[in-house]
Amino acid sequence: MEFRTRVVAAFALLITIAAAALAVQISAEGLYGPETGLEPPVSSDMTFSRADFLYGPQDWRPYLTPLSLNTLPAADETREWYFMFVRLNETPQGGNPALYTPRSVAVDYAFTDLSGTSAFYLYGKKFGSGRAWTSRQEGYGSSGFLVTGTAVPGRGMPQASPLMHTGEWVEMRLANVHGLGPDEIPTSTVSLWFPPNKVGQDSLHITTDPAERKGQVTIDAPTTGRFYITHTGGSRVGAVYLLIAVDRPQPDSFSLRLQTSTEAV
Amino acid sequence: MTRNEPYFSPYEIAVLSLCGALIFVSKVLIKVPLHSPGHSSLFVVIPFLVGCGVVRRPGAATYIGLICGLLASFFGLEAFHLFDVFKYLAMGLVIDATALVFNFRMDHPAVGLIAGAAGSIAKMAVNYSVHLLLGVPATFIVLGVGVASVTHLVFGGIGGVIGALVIARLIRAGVIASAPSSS
Repeated sequence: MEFRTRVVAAFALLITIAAAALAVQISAEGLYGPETGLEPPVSSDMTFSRADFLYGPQDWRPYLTPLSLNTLPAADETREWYFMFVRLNETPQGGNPALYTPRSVAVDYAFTDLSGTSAFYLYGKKFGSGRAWTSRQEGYGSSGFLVTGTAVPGRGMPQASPLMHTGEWVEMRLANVHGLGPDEIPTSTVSLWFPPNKVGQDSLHITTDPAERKGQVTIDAPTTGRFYITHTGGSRVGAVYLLIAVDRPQPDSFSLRLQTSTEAV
Repeated sequence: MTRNEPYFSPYEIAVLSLCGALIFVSKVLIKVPLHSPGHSSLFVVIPFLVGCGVVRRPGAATYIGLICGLLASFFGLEAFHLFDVFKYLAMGLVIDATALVFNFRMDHPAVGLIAGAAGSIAKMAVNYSVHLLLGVPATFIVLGVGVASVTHLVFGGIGGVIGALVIARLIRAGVIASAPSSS
C-alpha cells in the first residue's frame, strides 16, 4: 500500500473512532438528558470512603456568602469540617400538582466507624439553568440532619483542601467519581450560581417525615437510618446534591453507604 | 560460548529512558490550565515521537511508555498509581504500531499527527477502562466520552506534529540519519 493511501486510511480510522464515541455520547444524552426529562442514572446505591472528602478543613459551606457549618451543632464555634459533594440520581418535586407529580427523595444512609459528628446539607439546581438552591440552616424554615458516631478519629485527611470562596459562582468536584477531576472525567464537576439577592434557601428541605415538607433540624441521629428530601418551590428541580460534612478526620475503616429512592407525597 | 546481542544498544536505552523521564518531568512541571480532557497529550506525545524517531526499532515507544508509567506509578503522579503503567504502555504500543505501519517515517507531520492522536486515544481508552474497573459509574464516562475523544485526538495530533517537526529538524541538522523510504 502506498504511503499516501496508508495516511488516508489511518486518518479515516481515527475520525471513525472519534465519530463513534460522539455518537455514543449523543445517544446517551438523548436517553438521559433534559429532552426526556430523565436524570442520568448516576447511582442509587453509592459507597464512599474517607478519601472522598475532597474539601476542608474549613468552617463554612458555599453560598453567595459563606454559610457557617457550626450553626446547627451550636456547641463549638471553632470546629473545622471536611466535606464531600454527592449528586443524587433522584429529584424531589413540589409546586403545583397540576404541573408536576409531587415526590420526595428517601435517603437511606449507613455509616461505618463514624468519628464525631456528620452533617447533611442540600444543594439543588433549577431545571434548565445553573440557578442554585441550598437548605436553610438558621431561623424559620431551617432544616438539617446530624449524625453522631463514636469511632476513634483518623490521623488527618491529606487528600482534602479548603474550597475557595468564589461568591455567586461556585464550582465543586463530585465525590461520585472518587476524586477524579475534569481532566479525567468531564462530568465530574458541578457549577452552581447563587443570585446576588441572597435568595434560594427556602426550596429544599431535609425532613424525617415527608408529610412535614418544610423539614426540621435533627441532631444526634443514629449512624444508620433514613431521611427525606423535599421541595416546596414552584420551579422544576433539575438536580439535587448532598453536602456531607464531618467535623474531624475519619479513620481508615470509615465508610458511608447511601441508597436513594423516590417516594410519592 | 555465544553472547546474545541486546535488542537496544546502551545508547538507545539511554535515549529512550531519557524520553520516558522527560514525559514524567513534563507532567509534573507543566500545568496547562485548559481543563479539557487529554490536553496533556500536547507535550506528552512529543518525547514518544522523538524517541521512536531516533531509535527506529519496534518497541521503542513501548519502552518509553514503560519507563514513564513506572515513574508515574512510583511517585504517585496521578490518582491510579500502579494502573498508570497500563495507560502509558498502551500509548507506547499504539505509537509503535503506527511507526511500523509507516516504516518509521516519524519526521513526516502526517505520520506524527496520526501516531500522536492514536496514542492519545489509546491512553484515553485504557484510562476509562481502569475507571470502569474501579467502580466509577459508566454514565459519567459515557456522557463525556465523545467530547473527550475529540479533544484527545486534537491535542495528541498537535503534539505528534510538533514531535515530527523536531525529528525533521534533527535529520536536517545531521544529528540523526534520515528515515528509510516509506513506499
